[in-house]
Order: sequence, then structure tokens, then C-alpha cells
Amino acid sequence: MDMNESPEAEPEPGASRRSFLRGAGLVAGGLVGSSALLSACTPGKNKSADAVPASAASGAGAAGGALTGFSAYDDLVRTKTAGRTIKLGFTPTFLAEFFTQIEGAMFQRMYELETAYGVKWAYKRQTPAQNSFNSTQALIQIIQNLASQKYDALVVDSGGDFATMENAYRDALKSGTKCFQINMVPEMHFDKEDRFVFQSSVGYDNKFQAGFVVGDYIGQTLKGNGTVMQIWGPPGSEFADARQAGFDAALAKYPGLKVVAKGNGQYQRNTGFTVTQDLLTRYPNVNAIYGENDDMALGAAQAVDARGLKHWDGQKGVVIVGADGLLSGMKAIRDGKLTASVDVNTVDIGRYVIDDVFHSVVLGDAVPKLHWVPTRLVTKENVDIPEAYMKWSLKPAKKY
Amino acid sequence: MSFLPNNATVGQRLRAVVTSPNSGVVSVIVLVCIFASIKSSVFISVNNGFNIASQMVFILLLALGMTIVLISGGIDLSVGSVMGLCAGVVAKLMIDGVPMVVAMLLAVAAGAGLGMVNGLIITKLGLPDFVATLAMFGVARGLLYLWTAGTPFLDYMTDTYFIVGGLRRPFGYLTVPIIVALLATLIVAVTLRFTPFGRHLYGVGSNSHGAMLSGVSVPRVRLLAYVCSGLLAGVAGVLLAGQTTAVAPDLGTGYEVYAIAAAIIGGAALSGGRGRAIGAVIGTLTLAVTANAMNIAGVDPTWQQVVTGLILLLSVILDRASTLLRSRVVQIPIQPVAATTAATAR
Repeated sequence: MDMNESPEAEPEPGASRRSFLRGAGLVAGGLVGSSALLSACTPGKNKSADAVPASAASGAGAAGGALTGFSAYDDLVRTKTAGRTIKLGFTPTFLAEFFTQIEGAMFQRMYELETAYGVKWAYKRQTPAQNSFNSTQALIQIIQNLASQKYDALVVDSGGDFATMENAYRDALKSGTKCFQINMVPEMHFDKEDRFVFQSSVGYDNKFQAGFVVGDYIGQTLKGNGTVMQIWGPPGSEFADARQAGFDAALAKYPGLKVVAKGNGQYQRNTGFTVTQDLLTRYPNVNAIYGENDDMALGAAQAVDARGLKHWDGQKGVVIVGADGLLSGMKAIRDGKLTASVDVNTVDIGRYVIDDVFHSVVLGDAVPKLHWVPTRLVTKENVDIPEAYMKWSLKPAKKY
Repeated sequence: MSFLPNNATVGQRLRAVVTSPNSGVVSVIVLVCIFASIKSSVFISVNNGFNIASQMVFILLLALGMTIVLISGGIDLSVGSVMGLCAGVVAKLMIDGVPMVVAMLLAVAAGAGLGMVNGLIITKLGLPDFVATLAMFGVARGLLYLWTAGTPFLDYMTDTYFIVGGLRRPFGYLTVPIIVALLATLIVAVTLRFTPFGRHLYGVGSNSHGAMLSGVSVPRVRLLAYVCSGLLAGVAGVLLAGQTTAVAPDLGTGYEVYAIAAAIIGGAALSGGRGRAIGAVIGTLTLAVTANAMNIAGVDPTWQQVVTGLILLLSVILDRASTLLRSRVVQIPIQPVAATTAATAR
């Protein structure tokens, strides 16, 4: 699958800062989306990944992403940005491994741009109180508060309804605050594209970069024949609906694959465990289980163990696939608890959204409304690269 | 029923069954079982029976605690959060190299401690039970989020812990969590029925003024009720951490609702003074069997929530009906359901 072939480089442990940043340059430079960014930012300029800092004295010590190492260009951008402080807010719906990885990647990118162009960041993360009865309302209040404090840009993740969030972004924009959303499901709202209020929506297409990928993988692994069980998010989740659409599209290619059961795992491991336990009672000979997130897939894996069934060994056993792109999920794949998982690429989500903020707020560029990152289906064979990439995001060069 | 004479007629015996506590709920369970076994023959199997038993454990432990608190006239909204936090305590301590048994005892102690805080806030500061435990619901959950920084605790599992969590079964079908839940049920049943504390609980819950006049320390009884609830949540947390093999910050979210539902289905009253250990078992069984049956029967997940809600309603209505019937047959007055002495008003 071509999803697996995103060329990426990882920094070696203990590498010098320059080689570290050069590694980062390779990472960003190798990705399709970033390449587009590069060309948008630096038309016709030399952008060799090996470019050396143009002027060490002025602090430009990097060759990553939108940075060229070409002094005529870099100096012009630096003139535009120098001394400018961007007030940036990040409002994840709750604290989770997922957002920790995204935040770390944001920090990495912010640091790269700061080092190269002297742009300063005034950063604040604010999360609604846990388990508040209506966290969407709490999140909107946070957006309102930050907008009234004249924040330049907000990176928003919300479980809120699309129209509700659009209204919040519209109000914020009136105060001059641009909202960039991450990890949401705009692909379910293409019909409203001409009215999108967010500056950009950075994420991935849940249909064809998640659901479809899993369906295709299961189809190929089982050679087009077998039974599948779905352990799914709660009804009403847009993620669940979009992934279902993609999964169905893939399954249409494999008439021999049959979905025998679908349970509600509520995105939690323990519920995933019990639901799978129930379903395995009725379908003990199932060939594959698709858990819509890693936690549910891991719960399903435990239920498979508890029933004394074998995991997929390349020839036989139960294929168990999850999705998330968490370091804990990569470990589960390495340990053989999960057969595969879709890495939705938290690191690039964090990096791309900072690029969008920089382009939109600092350079005044038009950024893409729908900004997809590459996703990849991770198995034991290719777990090393995404795992190293995630580890890098968790060790940001500077915390803001 | 035990008070029937030996020469009771068939009609009398039948009436006794229909009017016995929980008969309505049990009939719902039977109906659900019939429905599920028609849809799939595997429903009635030893394997599935133990599936249901293992799924009941966590809610049952919380429901037992909830029943004690409900009898005393209170309510504990914090049990899901406390269970999650206690799971975090045992996981983190084991990651830090504390021996398993010590870590488990400390986690259970933490649960009891948080329960005591609930109880002290309610009895010493005079806050309504609902408010105090709602605050603890938020504090305990928030602490786990802060402590984990959003990233689950991993890599604390040991071979013994796999057995404790029920993922490995050294005794055939019986798992450690099932054995613990059975013991807890027995202990709670005996405590409620045969100890002064049990009798005082009912007294405080049904008529706290009367209990006080007869020399019962009402604050002490209520405090102890919350300690019991917290302690059982701690035990549940220790077992749950062993089953999930990872403590995510949202572990146990929503369990308080199941625990309250199970206790109420089992006949405990929000107005206090009513509830039994066996009721908690039956209530939990209702929830577990319903969910299990719907999964096996292939009921669409969207409908499962609706059906679960309706079953809850049906169980309680049937329970009320049998109470009404009993009051006519045996001539005992009905317990006031929406008594003015509701927990929240105190």
C-alpha cells in the first residue's frame, strides 16, 4: 500500500542539533503536503535537504520545512516576521496521549520557525474541565475568552457539532482571532465548503485515509475471504460514520468478506473487551476484528486472548486492527497485541497546523481549507519509522 | 417466602413468588434470556454464563457500595472516578517498583480514604450528598487526568496481576474478580442483615431523627457508608487495572450511572432505608444480561441505548407493582418512594 511508503527520517539519539534539524528537514521535505507548502512558500528556490544555515550569526540554524537556507529569501521573511509575537492558543477537548503528541509536534515546528525567522510565540493551552456536562459549551467559552484577549490564532479540537463550532469560529474572527481546527471530520460536510469559517482544517480523510485503508488491509491479508467483526464508536460519532463509509467502500472490492457483527465499544478499552467477549460467543470463528480506535482494538485483543483464540501469525489466527497513531499503540503492535493500526499522524497534524498559522497570520497567505496529512497502516514490519517520529514529537526542542 | 405456613396452598405460594421483592426484575431477566436464546443458541452456554459473570464484577462491586449509601439515605456519584483513580494508584505504584500487594492495599486504602472525605464533607460540613460526591466525581477524575498527563499508565502488568485481573484463569472458569465479587456480596449481605451497623443503616436511611433518638450516631453511620462505597470502588479499581492492562485517564467514566441503575433496579430507593445485597446482584445481572443478549442477538448499537433505558424503566415499574401487590396481600404499608426526606434535601 502506498500509504506505507511515506519516506521519513528520524533523528538519531544523541545527534547534534544541526543533524537533528536536518533530520526534521528530511521529514518535512519528504512529505507530499509539506512539499506543497515548500513550493508555496519558496517558489523556484533551492531547497536541498542538505542546505546549511545561511547565517549562523543571525540565528538561522535550520534547514527544515519552509526554510530554504537561501539567505536572500530567508532574510526577506525574517524582515517580515522579526520581532513579531504570535499569540497562539491550543484548545484540545481533553488531555490525552493523542493531544500530547500533537502539542509536542507543534512545539517542534514553532521552534524551527522561531529559530529560522525570529518569530516569537506566546502560547497557551486551555482545556475544558474534565467531564463537564457539556464540554462543547465549555470549549466555546474558552474560544470566546481567548478571542477577547486578542489571540492571533487558535488551534481547536472539539467533539462539537460542525455548525456550532462554525458559529464559534465566526465570533472569534470578529475579534480578529483566526481559528484552525485539527482532527475533525470536514469530509462529512463537503456540501458546506463554500461557507467554511475555519482557516484550515488539518487532519485526515476518515473515509479514505482510515476506514478504507483498514478494509483494504483486511481484504488483502485474508485474501478476500472471511468474516469481520466491527467494534465501533458510539452511534452519532462523525468519525465512526466517516470510517464506516470508507470501510464499506473497501469491502465492496472484496465480495468474499462479510461483516458478521458490529458492537458499540464506546471508544473505551473495557467496553471494547466486554462487547467483543459477547460477540465472540456467537462468532467464535471470526477472522478479523476492526476496532475503530486502538483502545477498543486492544480490548478486543484481550477478549481474543481470554477466549483462547490465536492472534494473526501471518497465516492464521484473528487479524485485529485498530486506529489512532499513539505511541502506546505502536508498542502494542511491536508486542504482537495488535496486528495493525492506522497511524493518523499526530506529528504532521501538529506541524502542518503551525505551518498554516505561520502562512496565514504572518505571511498573509491563503492556506488550504482542507489540509490532509499522510496516514499509514502500521504493522510489525514498518512500525519503526512512525514510532520514532512520535518519540521525536514527545521530546520538543523547546516547550512553550 | 419464609413466613408462609407449611400447609400453604399453591395459590398462596404463587402469590408469594409474584409479590416477593425483585420478582418483577427477575421476570425481565427471564424474558431477555428467552429472547436471546431464540436469537442464538450460544446464549445459554456455560461459556457465556461466565462471560456475563466476569462482566458483572466491576458494576456489582460499585453497586454494592451504592446500595449501602442509598440505604443510608445518600447517593455516591463519585464511584466511577474513584475507581479510575484507584486503578491509577495501583498502576503507578507498580511502575515505580512498589510490590504488587502493597500497591493494591494502598489503592484500596485510597478508595476508602476518598470515601471518607466524601463522608466528612457531608457529615461535618453539612453539604448535600449529591453536591459533595459530584465534587469528588470531578476532583478524582481531574486528578487522574493531571497525574497521567493524558497518557495512559502502561507496563505495570505482572504474571500474578494477569490472574488478579481475570485475564488468566487458574481455577477453570472462575476468575479472581468473580471470586472477589462473590465474597464482597456475601460480606455486604451479612453486614446489612446481621450486624448493628447494618440495622443502623436502615434506621438512619428510613428515619434519621428516630435513629438519632434511639442513640444511633447518625453522622458516624453515614460516614461509614461512604467509606464502604469508596473501599469497594478501590477494590473494583484494582481489579479493573488488571483487566484493562492500561490505565487511561478516562477509565471508569460513566460507571456511577450503571452502579446507581443497578442498585435501583435491585430495589434500593433513592429515599433511603431500602436495599439489599442480593438486589445489587440482580440489578447488575439485569444490566449485564441485557447488554450481552443484545450483542449476541445482533441488536443495532444505536438501539441498545434505548432498550437499556426502557429495561431500567420496566424493571422499576414491575418492582413498584410487586410492592403494591405485596402491600395488598400481606397488608404492609408501601415504602414512600418520593419521600420528602430525599437525600439531596438533607
